Amino acid sequence: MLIANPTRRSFLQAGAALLASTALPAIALAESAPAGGRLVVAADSEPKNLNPAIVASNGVFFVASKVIEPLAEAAFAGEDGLSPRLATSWEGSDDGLSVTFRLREGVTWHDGKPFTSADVAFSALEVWKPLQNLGRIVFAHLEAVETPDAATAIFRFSRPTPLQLIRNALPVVSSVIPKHLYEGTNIATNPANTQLVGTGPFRFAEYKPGEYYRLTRNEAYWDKEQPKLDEIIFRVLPDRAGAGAALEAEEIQLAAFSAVPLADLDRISKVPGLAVVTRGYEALTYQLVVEINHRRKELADLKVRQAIAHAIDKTFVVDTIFLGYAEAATGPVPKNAPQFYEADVPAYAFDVAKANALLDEAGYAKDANGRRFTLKLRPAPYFNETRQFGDYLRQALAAIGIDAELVNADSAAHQKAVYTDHDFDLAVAPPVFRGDPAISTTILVQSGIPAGVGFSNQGGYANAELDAVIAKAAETIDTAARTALYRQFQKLVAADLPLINVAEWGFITVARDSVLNVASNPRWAVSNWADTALKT
Amino acid sequence: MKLVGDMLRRPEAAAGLAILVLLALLALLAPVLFPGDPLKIAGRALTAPFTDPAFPLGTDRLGRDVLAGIVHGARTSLFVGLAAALAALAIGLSVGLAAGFAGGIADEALMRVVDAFQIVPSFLLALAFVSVVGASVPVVVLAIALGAWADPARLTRAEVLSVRGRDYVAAARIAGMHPVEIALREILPNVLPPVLALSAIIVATAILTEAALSFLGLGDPNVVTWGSMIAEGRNVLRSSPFLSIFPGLALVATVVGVYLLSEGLTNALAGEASVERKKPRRVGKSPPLPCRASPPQGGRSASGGNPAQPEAPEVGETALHPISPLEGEMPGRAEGGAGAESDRPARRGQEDLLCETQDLSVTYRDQETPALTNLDLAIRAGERLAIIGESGSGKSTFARALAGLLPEGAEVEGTVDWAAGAAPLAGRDLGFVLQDPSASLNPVLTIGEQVAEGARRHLGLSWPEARARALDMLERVRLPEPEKLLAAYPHQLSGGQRQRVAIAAALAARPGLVIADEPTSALDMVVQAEIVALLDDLVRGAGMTLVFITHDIALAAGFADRVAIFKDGALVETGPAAAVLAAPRETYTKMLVASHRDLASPPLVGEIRA
Amino acid sequence: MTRALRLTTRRALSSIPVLLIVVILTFLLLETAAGDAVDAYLLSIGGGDAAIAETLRQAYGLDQSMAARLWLYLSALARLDLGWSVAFDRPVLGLIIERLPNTLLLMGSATALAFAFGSTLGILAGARPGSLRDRLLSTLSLVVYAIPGFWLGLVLAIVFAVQLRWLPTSGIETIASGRTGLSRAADIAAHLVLPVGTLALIYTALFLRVMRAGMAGIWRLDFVLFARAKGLSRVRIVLRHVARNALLPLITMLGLQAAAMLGGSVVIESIFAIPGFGRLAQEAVSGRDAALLCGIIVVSAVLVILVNLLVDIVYAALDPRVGTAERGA
Repeated sequence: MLIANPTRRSFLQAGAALLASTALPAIALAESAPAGGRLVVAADSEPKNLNPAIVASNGVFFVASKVIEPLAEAAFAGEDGLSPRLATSWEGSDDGLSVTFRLREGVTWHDGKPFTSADVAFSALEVWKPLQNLGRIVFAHLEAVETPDAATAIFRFSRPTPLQLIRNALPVVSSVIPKHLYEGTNIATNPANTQLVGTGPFRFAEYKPGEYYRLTRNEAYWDKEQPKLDEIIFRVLPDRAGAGAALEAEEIQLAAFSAVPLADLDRISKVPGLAVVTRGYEALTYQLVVEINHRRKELADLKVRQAIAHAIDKTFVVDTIFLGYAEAATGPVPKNAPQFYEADVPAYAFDVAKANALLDEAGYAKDANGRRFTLKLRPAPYFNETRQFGDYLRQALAAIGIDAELVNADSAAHQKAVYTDHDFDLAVAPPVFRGDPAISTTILVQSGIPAGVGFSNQGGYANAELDAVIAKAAETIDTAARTALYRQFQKLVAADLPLINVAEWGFITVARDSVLNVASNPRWAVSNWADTALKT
Repeated sequence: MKLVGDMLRRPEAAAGLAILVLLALLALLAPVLFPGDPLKIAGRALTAPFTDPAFPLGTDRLGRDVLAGIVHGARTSLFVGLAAALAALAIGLSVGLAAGFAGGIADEALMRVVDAFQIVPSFLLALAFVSVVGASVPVVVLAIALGAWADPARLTRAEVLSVRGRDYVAAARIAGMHPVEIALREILPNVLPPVLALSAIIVATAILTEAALSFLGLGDPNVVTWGSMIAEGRNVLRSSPFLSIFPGLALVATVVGVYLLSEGLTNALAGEASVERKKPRRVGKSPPLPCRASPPQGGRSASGGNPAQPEAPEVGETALHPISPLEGEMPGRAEGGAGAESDRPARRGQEDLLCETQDLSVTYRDQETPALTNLDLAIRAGERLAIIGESGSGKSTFARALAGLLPEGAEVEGTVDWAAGAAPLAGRDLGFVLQDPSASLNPVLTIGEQVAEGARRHLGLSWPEARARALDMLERVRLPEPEKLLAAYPHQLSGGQRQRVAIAAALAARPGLVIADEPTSALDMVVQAEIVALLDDLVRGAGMTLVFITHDIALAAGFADRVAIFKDGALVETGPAAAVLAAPRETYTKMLVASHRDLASPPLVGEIRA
Repeated sequence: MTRALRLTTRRALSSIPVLLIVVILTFLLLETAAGDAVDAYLLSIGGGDAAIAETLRQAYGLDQSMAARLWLYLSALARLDLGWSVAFDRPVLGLIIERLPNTLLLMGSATALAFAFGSTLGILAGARPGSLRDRLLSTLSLVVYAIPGFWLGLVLAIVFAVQLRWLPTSGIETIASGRTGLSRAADIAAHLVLPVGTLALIYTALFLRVMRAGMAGIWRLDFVLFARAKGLSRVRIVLRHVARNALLPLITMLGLQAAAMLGGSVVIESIFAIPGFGRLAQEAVSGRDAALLCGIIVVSAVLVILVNLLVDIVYAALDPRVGTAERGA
């Protein structure tokens, strides 16, 4: 079970007013929800490639998940935390070398062609495994996909691949694209990557660059009750203040992914007709992480890393930077992934005196100006909060005699400097926990990753023991054993601090009261919105 | 430097400087007033302003002191502004000097680079540069300078080209001075003032650009800048507007200060130029001239001479016109005798008296000494009075005082009595001809319009009628092809032709009195004589009164009935032309006459007319 | 007409080396950048490994030297081909044609409005230099001109779009409204009020100041004294003699400001979510898209040249001296 509301503690702290204004979203039963209407939603970016089978990122899913469906979606309630979409059931073999998917029947593509197991086989072998940023890890050992009939796909692996991993990864990595449109073409440049064709509840109708994406109701959707909405429009609002203003002016009805700045939520929650919703991101946990370049002599010293960990006031980070809409982190797996989360790890309480003592011990005495050494700190530019944490970290480090020089760069420059050129001492990164540590978490600390891979261990950290645990977990089929290995992984990371996990946060949705069934699953913002409806 | 003093006397510059000095002080004292890192998280986040004495202007999202930020931000903003302007100036001056000096292909090539930087939107350039290189104060400074150096370069080059040909530079070249030395010693001082005025604008633009870059997330995170404070505040613009309002106000105040200073500098530069030309600085609304009606006529006092209210002295119309209509019957002229004895004829019985001044003094604004002191002078209807004096003698001031065309702020004492009872209306009762015909005609209007407009206004004509009148006037001033001229522009005419046009325009509404203020001194000798002859003819033919102002005693001698000699703002002597010139009473007049005799110039006018 | 044609040809020819320099500088700038178009692309798809990066670099020709890429770009440009945008995976020309009209509409209406108001108010201020009205207008315009445009835009949006709800907050038109003809034009106009108003307010202040300063200078000239000596009405002196001449520096400034105005639209387009040129430039920079950025800069340079050409023609119509020795170059 996933924790439904990771920020309840924070709410209670933040006081009654906030609590009242962030009431749970209205949930209407699917059958009783009114049909029809146009939902206008804020979008802050325009992905150049909208194909979720190739680009498994939240920016793409936000729009594309309504058109192209995965085999299964995350669910608050349901076996393994999943609800079936294009697959109705899945079963792994005991040796971990195959997984059998039963596929939904009677599904058609938006162009009228029937959906079959051939599409799944094509997507898995031609797209997910070779082209997709996350699929290449999950399906690394996928050898073949057998299609005994139109409704069955059997995945064959060359080496044991845990079913737990596959299950946890399904919502993210398994978007199925139509074979008949992609076969024999250059998949990376296929026009269908921008003019999406899928099986989902909405058809891709129109894209006006710089203005909007328009999706229309798929009359032939396999669930006859759905979708409820006639139309979804993603309105491009690049300015951070734009979404809040547009919501208040009733030009849009919903802004997801914290498009309304956290600092403005208190005010906007008091605007009549608007609701602040914190649910619906439980499976989309972002982690606030300090990446460390272990090539720096000082940072290669565990005492220095511990000192830095002690210098960070996580309460301040959660309460002031995230205004309570976050949780303090203890290790590399977030609390709202309870199947893996290990609470019993070394903790680093906020203790400036202890941090100073550790640095003295490590032999880095303060000079006449109270400085020990200077570091280059690169906060990732993607979020307000990563930048603000950069500002905070500089001050926190100053308190223990470390002079941090902030380097601001745009996304491309940051990416290159940190993940290719290693031109950093400390960096602030917002990696995503994607339901299983093997998908995008272990890569953050594992050694031997070539330069140039984004959101990976580029700090030169190498720990044979940790690598061994990661490798073993990757091919452990037994769920309990595998989980135990990941608990050990968390302990090792927290003890040796290859990086410092500071906080975990989900996003906030602000919607008008009239929008129903907001946050109906833990990946709601990037799910298909088939049950979302508008009160008339 | 004189320029600095001149500049500081201007209120706008003083205000600008006051703002900037205050900011500079704040910036300098920032480490004393608010020691430590202004980015330090010092208190509770989002403290409202004026609630906590520790944080008078409140705290921001992270709990940093807003006031400390603004004070320290002044350091960054002023530094960015000044450094960017200096860098732009350094690049611009070097390139401009190099291009101007080198000439030829090097000049051509450099100027194409300047062009390139000028047609690329500078904000786009700064944006691209900072995003690509990374946001830090030096990069921002460089990015802004890259977008701003082209203007000073172009300006410098133009100045270099204009000074290059001047004597002292040529002399320095011949003397074998190194070009770099010439550039530094001879050219730079000339180029610097206008470039400085421009660089003030660059400072302001730089401060605003830095703010806009910070707003787009391209500010240096290690220092506090107003731009980054505004950018931080914009997320909570609704709930905590003070976070962006306070730094915003500081920014606006700074930019206003810089603009004011730059404006003062520009005006001081322009003022200096106008001082050199010995022209009144500003011609605007002039004060009413104290006029007193002559008792016999029993007219009423009217405040005339103000072109802003030309409707005022309507009374004068009937009174003045009959005296000397241009085409009217010519009344008898006062020949010789009358003025021989005294210049203050008794008012009563002097039927031909047109105007008389008593104790007339004029002091221009911001001037210590009056331009005209206690002047008593009478003008008789129909006479041709020459007022003679060197520059600064007050003769032009007298002319303008008569015409009611004194510049704004000029202080007038004493009285001017008009026989008609009210001051003449400029244009209608009084025609005025200025010295430099190339300046007195509007360069963008046709000759026809400029001659016709006065006639249209004062003679109540329609435009076509006024044009016909203009055509007539152009014929009268003996300009060739007057029909064509109607549609021509001043620049298409020669100097002498332009003065003829000016005379035509001045006389178009049939004034009774013509004042010609050195109408010939900007023209060459032969043309001078022609113009004087023309004026003389027209005045004679129409029986108008002529007041002819000149520094050239010989010119005056040729046609004036009476002369008045001015010196240092006072009347030296007056009397019939022949008498004064033949037997000057005052030493100064004697000297004038003698110097003329020494030159042995023949009486030009007389010869030509003969 | 032939004069304009000659002027155009001469301008066009002399601008070729300038454009060449612009392109080379743009290439050099992006060459110094950390991260290339592929890094930017990989980032946008959530990361990828070195092998993918290499394949993509080859596909887009980014593995070649800068000189080779520059040569390719220039020879394509000579055939009026603006190249291929890596960031958008589309031809640059199409992108520009899509975005340019919005910016032109924005800038054109802001300039026209500001010109009308700025020159009128400038005349009102300059009619009596030093008067209360002049000081009031001058001070006000100075303050308005000193306000950062982005801040003004935000505040105007909050007041008129959010609080009063008189106008839409952002965008160029109501999305997917299916409007046509007049109703669509009215819709676009409503959307443009705030961004155009913001820009126009600032430019009005600028134009006012230029007009006023020009008039203040002209009041000192002899022909104004002569006009007064002719006894003309105040209105005629102000409009026909003073303002008419002060219009010339204002027109000149329009040409000089053309580039700055294009740049100034970046922030406004971002605040009001107008899919225009400025935003495209921002995206080109963040996407390290050399071809697109060059295309934008070349097209804006051409625009600036065209505006200056127009300014020259207008100037020539207003100033009879143009074309004679007095104003040669």
